[in-house]
Amino acid sequence: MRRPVVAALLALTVSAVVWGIFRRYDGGELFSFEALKTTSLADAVPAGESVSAPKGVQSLRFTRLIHAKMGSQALATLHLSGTIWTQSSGGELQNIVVKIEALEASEGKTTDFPLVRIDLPNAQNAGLKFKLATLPGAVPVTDDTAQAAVRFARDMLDQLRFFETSDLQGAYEAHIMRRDAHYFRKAKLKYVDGPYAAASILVSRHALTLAQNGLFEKVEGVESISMGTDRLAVASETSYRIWVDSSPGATLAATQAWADFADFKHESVATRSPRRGLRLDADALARAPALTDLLVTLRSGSLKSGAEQLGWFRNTVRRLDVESGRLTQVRDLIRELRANSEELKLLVGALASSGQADAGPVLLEAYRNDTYSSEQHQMIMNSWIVTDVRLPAETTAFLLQVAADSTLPADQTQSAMLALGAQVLKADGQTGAQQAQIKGLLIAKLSSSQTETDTVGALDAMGNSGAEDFLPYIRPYITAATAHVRAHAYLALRLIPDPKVAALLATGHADPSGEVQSSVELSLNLRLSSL
Amino acid sequence: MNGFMLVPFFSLLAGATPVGATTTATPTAGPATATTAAPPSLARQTTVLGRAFGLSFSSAANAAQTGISTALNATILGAKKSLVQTSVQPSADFSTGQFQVYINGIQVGTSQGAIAQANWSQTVQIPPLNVKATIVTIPIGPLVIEVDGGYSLTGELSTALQLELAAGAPTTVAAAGAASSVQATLGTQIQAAGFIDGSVGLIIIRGGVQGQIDVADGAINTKADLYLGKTPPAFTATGSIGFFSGALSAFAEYWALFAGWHRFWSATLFSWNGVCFDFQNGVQAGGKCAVR
Repeated sequence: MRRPVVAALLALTVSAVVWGIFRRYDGGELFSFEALKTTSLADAVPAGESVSAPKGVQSLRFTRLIHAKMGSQALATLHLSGTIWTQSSGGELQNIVVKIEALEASEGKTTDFPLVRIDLPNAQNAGLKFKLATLPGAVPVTDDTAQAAVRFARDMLDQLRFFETSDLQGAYEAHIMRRDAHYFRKAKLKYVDGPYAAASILVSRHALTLAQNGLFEKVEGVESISMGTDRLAVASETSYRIWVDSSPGATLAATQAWADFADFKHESVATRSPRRGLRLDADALARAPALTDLLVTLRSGSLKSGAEQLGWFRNTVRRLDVESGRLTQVRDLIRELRANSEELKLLVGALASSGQADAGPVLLEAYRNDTYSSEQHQMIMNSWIVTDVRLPAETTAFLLQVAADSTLPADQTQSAMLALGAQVLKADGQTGAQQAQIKGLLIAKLSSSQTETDTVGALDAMGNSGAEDFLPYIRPYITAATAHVRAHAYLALRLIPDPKVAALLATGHADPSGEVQSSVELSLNLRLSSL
Repeated sequence: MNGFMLVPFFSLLAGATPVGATTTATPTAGPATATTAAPPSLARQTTVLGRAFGLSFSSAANAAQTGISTALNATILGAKKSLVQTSVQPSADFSTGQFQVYINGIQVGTSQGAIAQANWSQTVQIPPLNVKATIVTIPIGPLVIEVDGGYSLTGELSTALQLELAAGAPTTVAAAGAASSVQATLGTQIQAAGFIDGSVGLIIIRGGVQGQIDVADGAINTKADLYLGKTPPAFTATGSIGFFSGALSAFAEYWALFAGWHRFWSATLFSWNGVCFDFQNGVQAGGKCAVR
């Protein structure tokens, strides 16, 4: 019984000491900085020497001398020097890049201390980016320089607050790195206010205080704000929420911001509770918006333009790449989406393009879903044909079965044959036996074809394979009696890399049929841009 | 280390089209009169990383004037790729029609049906797809960056064939003879975005390029009357297509202990709001399209 009591007393004592330390230093001016000399952007005069700068870039040097004090005691003297570059094009200011090149502390040590970057908006991109970063490895490991670095970062953040309240809309991303004797920690903030979505992700204030035995960082306030519920807002409370704006481009900006969230580390996000106040949230990423949340929220009706659809698609693919565990959710969603072709199309495309090994079985299941229309089935199969999605081994057997089933509609069997041909071309995930089986089926289909339609169908399927094995089987048909068959025989040669094929195609120019000549032309064009 | 990375990257910029630069364009279109209108055709090209980046849309009658086709080709970092090819072809006696669609050289849709005075129409849905078109190597100092160039593509491709018999003529093609025609329509509703993506690293520093340009966004219906007598077809086109909206950028990052990669430099290689072309009854006009 005594041990827990002692432990509790000890914990209370330690807590009291720690609390006292924070009470003692929190918000107090433990140390101050005095800027002695600075050249600001507003004073943009050629005060310094010119430096070698990229073509079309004007630059000026600046210096900043700062005394750091604790009370009346001098801690460090910092001598920053750097270069300001302005980049302009067509009379418009494009960028201002501030590069801090050196930081000289009072001990006489020097180090590289890059980089500060400010991008000002140009006429087409009303985005303001402010980047502040340090290379921690290059900062001398002394308390003084670490304090100076932190103070400098804080100073820059103060300036950032100016931008928050200015008329300039834009974004900044700031990184604060600090180092004590043992470790680095990072706080990462992001505020985005784009031209469309006004997406505010986090507005954060970090109070950096000095404790007795090194530097401590205390999160003083982390808040999330939204710019109105009709616009995107990702809140850093206990969950993220996404609202979709009705204005053009908002959804694209929303999906981009959503995809960006995968890049945030857990320390980016703080949560607030009435009892415990704001705390850095180690599990925040795990509670990031689920893929399905986004998919359900961002109904395709919100995607107003093709650019938005492609943006949605690319961001979803990006997210799927890092969240393979979400595929089950996507599968469930696909099962529910039979009524909405547009959403199904976007999901199928994202899955097929994601490169996830598990995407193939989901797509195969979707294809086998009887509730879809024939157009939807065709669309799903098209996604297999064109992309490199890895389909499960059973797919080949399934396609062979469909292709051989004479009771099915001709369109369906023909689609299966085209897919089989493309399977041979990709040769991905198939055994040699499966390849041989596909080739055998297509050869048998061609040899046993009784009608022109069947012959053309088999030639088209072979054409998707690019397999040289088929050349002896296709060649006789370029002299077939009917122009339609000859035309498709020439088309079937387009992906076969054998050099003899080019000469064979050239003979088609002399064919008396216009249809054949057109097919030869198409075949050559496709060959040029596909091989 | 920084100088090592920055200088090559700025030299990359020197080879790129300046932000907002105009691109070369060779738009062509026929006069407004439907009987003599030429097939709609557009091409735009620019330079990114010193290599061609462009897109062309064309439509044409086939050699025998008995069918029409459209083609959307992209040039990604100098490599020409066939994005979409469609063709519709009535049979010689106008009894049947055939519709074919190729994506990246692979046939994805094919259908055949009987042509009647009611529309025979077919649609092929292309889900959004990422297709890697090429890999280009670009030397950066002692390193070589492998840049993936490709495109995202989605769309809906359609066709319709409708038999047109001369007014007052007999009700069969054979009787109507050369006066018979089939009105063929190829609908291309397409969104395509070219992208580049690549990076190279040297211990704690890495750099690369990335970005997306919406190379095409629009919908064009190409129509032509195909005559049994093999009279050259007259084209009309309606719709709009937009080119080149987006941005490509280069970047450099450093790696920090426990903090991962941090981007400390980036530059815009290409940025443009794009341009859009309207087609109305065969007449083509540049500028912003209302439909975009």
